[in-house]
Amino acid sequence: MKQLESLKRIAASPYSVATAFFIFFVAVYLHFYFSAAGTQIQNADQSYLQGERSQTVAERKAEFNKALETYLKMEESYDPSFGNGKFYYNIGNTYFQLQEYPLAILYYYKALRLSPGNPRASHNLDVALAKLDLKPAVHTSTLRNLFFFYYRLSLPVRLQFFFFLALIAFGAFSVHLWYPSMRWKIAGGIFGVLAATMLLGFAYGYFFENSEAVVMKSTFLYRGAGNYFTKVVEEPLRAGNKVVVYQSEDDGRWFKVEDAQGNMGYVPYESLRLIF
Amino acid sequence: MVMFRRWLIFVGFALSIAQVWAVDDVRVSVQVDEKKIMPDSPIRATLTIQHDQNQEVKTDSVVMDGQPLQVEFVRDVEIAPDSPLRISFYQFALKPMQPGLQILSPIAVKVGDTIYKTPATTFEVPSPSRINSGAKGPVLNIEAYANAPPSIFPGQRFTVGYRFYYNDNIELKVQELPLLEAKGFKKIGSPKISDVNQGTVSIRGIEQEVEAVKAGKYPFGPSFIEGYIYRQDNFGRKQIFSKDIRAEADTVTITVSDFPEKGKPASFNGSIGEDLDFSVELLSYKDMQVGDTISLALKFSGKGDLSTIQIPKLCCEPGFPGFFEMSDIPPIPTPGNGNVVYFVELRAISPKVRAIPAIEFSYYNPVKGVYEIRRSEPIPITVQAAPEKTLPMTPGMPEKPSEGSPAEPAAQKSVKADVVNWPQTTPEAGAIEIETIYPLSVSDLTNRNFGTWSVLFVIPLGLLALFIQSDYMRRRSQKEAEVIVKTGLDYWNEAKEGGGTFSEFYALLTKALLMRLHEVKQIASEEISPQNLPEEGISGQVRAFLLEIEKERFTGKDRLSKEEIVKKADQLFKQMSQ
Repeated sequence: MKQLESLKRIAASPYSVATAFFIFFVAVYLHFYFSAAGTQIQNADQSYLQGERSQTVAERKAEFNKALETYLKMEESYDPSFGNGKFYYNIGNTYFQLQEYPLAILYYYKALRLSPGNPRASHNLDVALAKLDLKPAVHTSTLRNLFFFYYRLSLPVRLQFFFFLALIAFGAFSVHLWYPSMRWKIAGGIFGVLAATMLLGFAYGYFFENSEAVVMKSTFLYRGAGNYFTKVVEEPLRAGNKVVVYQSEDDGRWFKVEDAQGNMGYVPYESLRLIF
Repeated sequence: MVMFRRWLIFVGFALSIAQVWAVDDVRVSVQVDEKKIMPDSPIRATLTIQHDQNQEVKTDSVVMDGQPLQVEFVRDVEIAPDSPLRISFYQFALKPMQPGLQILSPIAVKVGDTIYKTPATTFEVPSPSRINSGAKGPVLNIEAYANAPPSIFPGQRFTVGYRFYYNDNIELKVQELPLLEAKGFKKIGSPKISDVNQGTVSIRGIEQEVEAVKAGKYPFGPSFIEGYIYRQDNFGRKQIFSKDIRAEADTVTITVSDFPEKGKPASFNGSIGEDLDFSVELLSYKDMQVGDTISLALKFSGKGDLSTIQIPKLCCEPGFPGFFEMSDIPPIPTPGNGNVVYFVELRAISPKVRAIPAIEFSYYNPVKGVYEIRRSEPIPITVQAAPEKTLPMTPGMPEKPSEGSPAEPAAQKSVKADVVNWPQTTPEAGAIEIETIYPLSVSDLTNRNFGTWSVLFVIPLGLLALFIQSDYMRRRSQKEAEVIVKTGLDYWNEAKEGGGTFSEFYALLTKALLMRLHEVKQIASEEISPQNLPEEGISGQVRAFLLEIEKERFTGKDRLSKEEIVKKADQLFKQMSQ
């Protein structure tokens, strides 16, 4: 009875009322937000599939353009850069159908970043590269070769793993505090070490690993940050190639990059798009 | 015959005399306005030409030291109302010169069909100290100028501006500076202000870069500034020191010429330069299919204002229409050191393309006064056709008659055509080369749960949780460690209240009495057995009491009831408390 009385008092307090309203409005907002997303997804997917079924080039182009417009609007609103990559894969497909192969390649790389083993994205990327007569670029480092299993997982998945390892570690230590036992201590230590290792991996990736980009417009590789410098190689760097970006110069107008053949040079910023 | 010859001679003589008179009527002179010469500023001079009104003064023929001299017409003055002679005044500016005696070279000008020259003349450029020493009282002067090339064409850039000369604190009230507005010209950037001191004279320069837009004559002026001299008192307030002073500058007229039509190539679109180079480089593959993107770099370099460079209109150059499709997005120039590069994208739309045609670039050379053309080399490429498809009949077109069908009337036969080879207006789409899309759901638009960088907050939160728990545990342990010290009376009350067995009662009673004895310092420690208590005093009484109860317990006699024990024990406690 006493408990019922106290519950009633809590429910009637202004803070509880305000909290309840807040939760209600957030729920309503999220509902409309995600229903709008659902409609957009439906429209975009339908346009794309309609494009696949179209019999003429003009119809196909129109449908794919419609799908692309919707996808790009969704990318602006949602931008799931820690998602599962399917969204970027779909955008890549749409660009491919519109023969914008460098952009298609960019989005396939984004999808593969988030879903490294995705067979569809890999296959379509190969087709897009073949269209531009390019070979897939493979940039390796000692760390990548050593911890290859680590890089088989996407960053969001690794973050999830880290979260759960850290949670278990803290949980084990907490239990050890309440019920001191060597078992809990060891368990906490093991999971803590694993989480710390993953954390070091994130720190290394964030501070020491270089970004990657895809060339959007063919350009020459220059020896310095300006087109009055000599070219590193006579052959231009073709659109669709993946490069490693080291640094930017001249207020971000030029990037120092390395191509798949190991040639290092400078390219103007407008000829590149970073993968992430 | 003789008379005719004499008449001819007379007429010829008269005509030659007339010519001589006409020639003699032309006078050309030049005068430098020495009073207005200021150091580091252009030197203005006036060219005066006396001529017959029917003789045209060719202002574009004015030359000094072999170089064209741009002159600006000021006015014409009639010598007399019924005289055909008039005096034309032209002004021009010379580059600033060093202080000292300077020579003005002869200036040649064509009047009618004859070239006349002025004699060389001298003038003095005063030194700054002379200006300062010569200036008595406040100095305020304004000079308007236009650093323009002799001929200005649309698209060319130059600077215009003013120089203010002053030697005191002057507060300007009114300024009329039309050159800085530069109406009719496109302003490039903001005005640049510079301040220089030369002795006691300060010179402030305000310069604005402008770009000519349209041909025409643009007078700016007269310009003036007006203000007063002030002094600052000890409080920093401005006190007017003089009445208003004013300085004026003459009108500056800028003439923008139109590009000459004579010899203008079809590819000309406004570029100006003296000796420009042009080259084209292919940035994409040479082997491609119809529809593939071709990237070109168009590089312009050389002497001249590269900001005037306009990229050739590839859509209209020979060899491009019908074979290439241009991008709708106009290329943006990428300026470099002494060059400018345009990156252009286009697509080959026909398999008949064998090369990127030579691209013609033409520009106007204002020094030579001619158009110059540069052509790039053609770049061989190979364009393969897209895979062939069988084109079905366009709906609505009559079909070819099948074999064995009755022959059609001749009139109808002529209407039919072989439609199979006609290109379709709506070409068929090819097979899809890639795997299809994923059917998306809302969850595909969101980030993975616990898959973002925010999960790193688990570290400080986890540490905080551990800290809170360990702190709580520590406090709890501390609390538990604080043993609630019960007194003897507490134990006695507990014994009296407790409903346990007699043994438990007796144990609590014993503990209570011993603790009480310890509290009243009758014994050193309560950890003592009743037999070992001292036999004297209150301790002895307690000893006897406890031993008696124990004896009763072990003998089983139970002569003392609990109430009696309690009463006796109360007495003992009371005694001990006294």
